[in-house]
Amino acid sequence: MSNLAPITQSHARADWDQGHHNRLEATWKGRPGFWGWFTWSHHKEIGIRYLVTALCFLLLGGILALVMRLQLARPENHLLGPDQYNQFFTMHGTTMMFLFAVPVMFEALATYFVPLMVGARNVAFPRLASFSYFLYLFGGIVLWAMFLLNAGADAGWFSYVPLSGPAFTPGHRADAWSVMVMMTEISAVCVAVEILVTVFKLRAPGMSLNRIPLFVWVETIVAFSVIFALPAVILSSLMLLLDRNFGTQFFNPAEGGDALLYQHLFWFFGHPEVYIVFLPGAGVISTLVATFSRRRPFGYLAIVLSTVSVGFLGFGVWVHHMFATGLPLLSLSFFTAASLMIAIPTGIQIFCWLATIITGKLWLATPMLWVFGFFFIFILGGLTGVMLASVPLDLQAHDTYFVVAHLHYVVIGGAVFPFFGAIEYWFPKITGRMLNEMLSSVFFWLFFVGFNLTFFPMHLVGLAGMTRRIYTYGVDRGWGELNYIETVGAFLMGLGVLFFVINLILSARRGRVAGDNPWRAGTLEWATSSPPLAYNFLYIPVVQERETIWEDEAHPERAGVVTGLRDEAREMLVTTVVDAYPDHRLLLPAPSIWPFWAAVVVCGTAICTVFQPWAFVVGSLLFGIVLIGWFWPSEEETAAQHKGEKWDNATS
Amino acid sequence: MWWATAGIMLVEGVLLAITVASYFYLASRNANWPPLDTAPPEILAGTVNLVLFLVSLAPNFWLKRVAGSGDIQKTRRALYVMILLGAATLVLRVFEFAGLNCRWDFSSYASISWLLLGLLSLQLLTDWADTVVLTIMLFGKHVRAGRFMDVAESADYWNFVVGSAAVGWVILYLIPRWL
Amino acid sequence: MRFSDISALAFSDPLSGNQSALNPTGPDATRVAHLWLIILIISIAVFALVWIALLYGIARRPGGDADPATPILDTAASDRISTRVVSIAAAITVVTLFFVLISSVVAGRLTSEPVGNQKHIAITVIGHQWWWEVQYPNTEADRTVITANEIHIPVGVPVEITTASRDVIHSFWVPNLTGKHDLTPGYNTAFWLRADRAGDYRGQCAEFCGLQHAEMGFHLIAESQAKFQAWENDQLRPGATPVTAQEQRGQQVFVRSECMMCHAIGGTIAGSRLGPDLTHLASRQTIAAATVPNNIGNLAGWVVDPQHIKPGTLMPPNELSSGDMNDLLSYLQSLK
Repeated sequence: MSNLAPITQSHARADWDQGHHNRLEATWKGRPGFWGWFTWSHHKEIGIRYLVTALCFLLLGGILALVMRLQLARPENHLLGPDQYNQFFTMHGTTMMFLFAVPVMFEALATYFVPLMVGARNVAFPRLASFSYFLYLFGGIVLWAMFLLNAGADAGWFSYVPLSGPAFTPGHRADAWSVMVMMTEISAVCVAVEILVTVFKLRAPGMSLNRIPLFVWVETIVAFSVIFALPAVILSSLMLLLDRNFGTQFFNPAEGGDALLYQHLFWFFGHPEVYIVFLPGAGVISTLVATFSRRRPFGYLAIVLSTVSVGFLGFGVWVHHMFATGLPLLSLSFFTAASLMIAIPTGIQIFCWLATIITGKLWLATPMLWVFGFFFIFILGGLTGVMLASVPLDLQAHDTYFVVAHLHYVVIGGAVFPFFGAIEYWFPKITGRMLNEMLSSVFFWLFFVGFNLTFFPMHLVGLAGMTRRIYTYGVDRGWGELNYIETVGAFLMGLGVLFFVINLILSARRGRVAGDNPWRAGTLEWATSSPPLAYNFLYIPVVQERETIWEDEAHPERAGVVTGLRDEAREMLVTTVVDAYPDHRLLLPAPSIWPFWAAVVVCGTAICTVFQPWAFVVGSLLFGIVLIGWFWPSEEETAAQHKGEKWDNATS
Repeated sequence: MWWATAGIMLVEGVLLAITVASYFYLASRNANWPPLDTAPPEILAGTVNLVLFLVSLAPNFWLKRVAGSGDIQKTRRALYVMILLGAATLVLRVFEFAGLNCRWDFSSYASISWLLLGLLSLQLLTDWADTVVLTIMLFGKHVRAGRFMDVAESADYWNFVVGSAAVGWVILYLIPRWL
Repeated sequence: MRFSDISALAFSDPLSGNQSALNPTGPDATRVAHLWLIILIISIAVFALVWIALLYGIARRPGGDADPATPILDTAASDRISTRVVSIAAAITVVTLFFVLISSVVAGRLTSEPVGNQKHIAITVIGHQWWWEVQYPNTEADRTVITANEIHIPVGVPVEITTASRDVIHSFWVPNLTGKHDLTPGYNTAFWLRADRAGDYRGQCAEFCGLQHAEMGFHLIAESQAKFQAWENDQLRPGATPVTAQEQRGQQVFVRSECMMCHAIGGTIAGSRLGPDLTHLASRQTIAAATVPNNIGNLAGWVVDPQHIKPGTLMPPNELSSGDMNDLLSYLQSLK
């Protein structure tokens, strides 16, 4: 029995209560000031940090691509030498995959939107969220610092051995890469655990599993994929670090090691990785298609099961990245079958979206431009994927520009286009202002046309023999014209992105005020102000149906909110996994600077250990101390806990 | 929250599984495992350690029970036992490393064996340190009901550590003798 | 009409060139090109169908998108129809993919096996950073051809290539004839190819292998049986004995310089296998792994400063007096 007010459901749509608001605001808002900034552990702030940082990496990676395209625009060009070019393409791929794609599609969007969409005030482990962000940031800084010192990683974004091993890449280039990978991927795993617990235990009452928004389902399944896939690359990077700096023999065939072990581990991670990047894009498409067809998405169950299938099957296709390595043909054929099979659930999702659009009342708002772009580009990419799934065909196209075309069509079509659509859609929620429509349209068309100009010719030039990762090519190859066109297209894309950045900055300050729900959408993030207040919802809503807002508008008598949670402490309501019945109260820890220091210690330890093995011991001890600081309860917390429990001190 | 502990167990479990898979992969690529110039690991230290781990399950079960009941004296006593047992396993781990009969850079067999034992030892060490800290927190003004829940969860996690150690024992000590 | 003619019409020049997968001149590449065409046609059909549906959806929308319409809450009726349509579409997808799977497995089976029981040629290709060591192994050592960066095969005869690598992973790819195969240290994979038309096909390393991955090419020349035999006999001849005084001086320059630390020339004491074998250098059309044509100017430039042509290559620059250089060049050009 506790000394707190009971938790109940109130059947009135709660009126604004200024006192309640003031107390909630005081409890949930972050500490002000310079050092205060480092303590913030609220999901919206962390989400914005991820978004902004990832966008910076997108721009950096894009600039690298533009310079690469300048080098390749003409045969036998001299803008970049081989060493520089190798660093550029390694950094481009690494930045885009590890520092932009996963952080933006998973960590950023999930951290910001999942709690809002499930009706919670924060994520389950706020300090872990802060730690994860700083770990990601530091990992990216380490990698780029090395690059800017002309000692950047240069063995490809996948860093195959033996090339990246101790014999063929001296110095610490590949070590910086490995350290960054370990840090960002540990960061992603932490976020995954957090999202899973938030989705399973912190949903608003009444939001049973079959009422969870599709976007949240997708991020949950992606979180599972992250947990099962990322340890493989963490391990392969660790093994690479050990081989390079401590003399281990994991990948050295002369001492019983195996170069293909690295590839198996890397691609066991690498293929689920691309689904980790694509699936949230599909989740965004489901969201946008529903809102702008003015109906709930058709095929909710089919889409959920398809997403689960893709997540699961994604673990069974990794060898299709290794078709040329000489493994037995029969085993390779299993992977062809699995790779083709993945097209089925993906196709089902596409058919469901088409059905939603056709049977709905389509509203051609600006975010829908990106949906149509997705339909064009991603589907094209998926079809070239079917080609590549075939072993004999892949043996011709593998490691050529055909694959470069394919991967950009699926990643940009399947993730980046939905991402820009998501920004168009959710920018009003995050900032309270609408993006400028004209700038958005200009951006879209420049980007769409530029993209196709850049990447479509690559299919042709790849089949014409142009291999990947080459800094130049001979005049007599005949690839010059197509490459020139590709470079023009790339700069069109760049120009479009410039419009995008200008739009973001201008609209954040002077855009049209958006209001709570400018798109009149149905999911819970629109049931609060734009931008949401520190505590998200004045009262936690009680959910009766899937598109809560639409249902509440149609049946206002059924709407309800939760009362009885404390507003002077950071309290959240924990509900059951399947049906979201209220279960118990949870007191979240206060914002703290310890997660920041923890990330600093991890980063410092990782870097120093590369140079001096004993640094690992010292760093671990420091980490232990920081962890104690992190978990040591403060006076305030203990007092809040005491108030919330009746506990007999007689036995102490 | 129990879910946090479950999350950690899941992540570590996956990492362990992939390391074990790598072990078997490397074994499949080598005609002799361990290589002809390396003897299989000395079985004594490892087996004594395994017995210690299994025996520790009993006081661990007791710890969870008394922590659940909120009895602070019994909980502290149970924790002292677990700390002693944990320290013993850590000391034996040092002998296990020595008993591998190879330095980590001799061969891929040596490297993967050291890596597996190293990851397990890191897990053991961090859990032991955590147990020590939890014990300290059961003294003084920060004692509250939630602490007992933390101790109970830590007991659950120890079961996972024992399970991992058992898997490690089979891989490190039996597989080289069977292959 | 050959496939390459169609592609030349539809696309552009390089696709009908001597490094194009869409200009197949052997059975493997032909099978793959046909498979690609089949999947391409299926892909175009699928893309068209999806876009027809999408455009239909756009056309069907209610007029006036200025204000968002009230959401539709009861979708039961249209959902029933949608379920049927989506199920049919899914079924068609499954059948189509199954067809693609069968086609692919069949094509794969055929491309991985040698054609018939004809006698074949065995070649070993060993990858180095950044050149190809080519051997035609024979049980008798003096009937083993050792060369670099240029492969000759007779038209119509199956060739079995076995791979190895001395350093990092490379990949052997000659698009006109067959798919690529990796050269992985610790592994020796074998694959088959056959050329059905004579020609000079260019290949290139297709696995990123470091600084000069871009310039690690080779030529595979398919010729008549008679020409091939002549070439093989030439390659089996011991290293040419220098005839003129200049050539003799050139040989001395070679032997006393750093050259013999890496390069072998039959008939001399130079026997290192670190770099390409130069015994029949003058018979090759290109140097530096198909980077530049093999003529006196390029050869001179290469010997003096290889870093200028292939920055990062493992061959160091060589300072030679102009007299020594002329002698050396004259000798090298005599090595037919």
